Amino acid sequence: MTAEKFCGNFSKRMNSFICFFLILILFSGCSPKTQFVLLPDPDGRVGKIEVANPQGMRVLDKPWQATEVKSMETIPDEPKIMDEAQVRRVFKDALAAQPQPPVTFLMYFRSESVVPIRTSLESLPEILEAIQSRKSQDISVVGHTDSLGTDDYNLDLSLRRAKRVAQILIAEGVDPSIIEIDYFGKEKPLTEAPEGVPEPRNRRVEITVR
Amino acid sequence: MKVIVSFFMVLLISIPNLVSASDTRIGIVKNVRGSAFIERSTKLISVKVGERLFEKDVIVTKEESSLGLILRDNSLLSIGSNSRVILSEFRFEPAEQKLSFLTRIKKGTLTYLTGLMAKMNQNAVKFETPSAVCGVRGTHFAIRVEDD
Repeated sequence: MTAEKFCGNFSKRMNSFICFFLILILFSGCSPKTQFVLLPDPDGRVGKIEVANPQGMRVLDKPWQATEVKSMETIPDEPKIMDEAQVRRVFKDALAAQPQPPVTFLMYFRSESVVPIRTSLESLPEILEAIQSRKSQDISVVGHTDSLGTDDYNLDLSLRRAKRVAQILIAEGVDPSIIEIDYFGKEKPLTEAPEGVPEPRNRRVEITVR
Repeated sequence: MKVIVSFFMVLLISIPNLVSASDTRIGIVKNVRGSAFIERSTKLISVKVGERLFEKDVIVTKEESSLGLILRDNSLLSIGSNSRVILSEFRFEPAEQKLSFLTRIKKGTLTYLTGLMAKMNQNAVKFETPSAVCGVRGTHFAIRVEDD
């Protein structure tokens, strides 16, 4: 607004070309102000962020702590604790749009078997419920083995395990196009175990519902 | 001969780059309110639930609009009204030690809840605004960039 008025008053004497460049210079000098706020986690814990530019750095590590940064040419403001209600008002849209966090389920297997053990199959209703409540369109099914046997054998076994679990989900009505299968053989143990020693906790398929 | 060799060298170098830049899905849209768009190379895509996200996607929301996204590392990014956010870089390959997520917010609001990537490497996740860079040690925060 002020730039327009300024421009209008001067245009009698200056030509509009100069005015245009003046506005360009005015605007290029000021970058928009930024605000950073640290929020508590959904489980109540509090993390830490570092806000930096060439002029300096500020650390936020308390809930609702905030810093404002006017431009690249000024140091971020001294952090202040913001009123929670005010934060909720400013970020209302974004906070309301936050998706439910993904959830991961594990199914376990007997040595060399591709059929999940009975207690793992009992978690099936819970998995289907998670898929439904999230209206999930993105499910990963990832197969693993323990370290018994060759790499090739285990890679193949982990793939067959993942495929079997995917089949079980599909049989329950899950859309096959939203399932992504992956497999790692014995490369990613959940529990450290000496090479060649059976470890039931590593013979698993991880199902992540997003 | 030299020319031919260098031609193939360029091909060899450029092909994997092209593939990794655009072919890997980095996340999915979980919810949409109002009108939101993705600018992807020369295309403008009206965002729907289930839309897949790729590196370098530019996300734009209008008045009274918002978006909720889940990224491959299970982190959650939500974007408020009148925003412009660029998913500049996303590498989540723990086996190859390749972990990085760089988001640029040009205007508007966002909130972010970290996932596996920030847990694996404290320096992997960064948010850039026109006036500062935010390094993310964890776990939940909000950023607003005023529109000028």
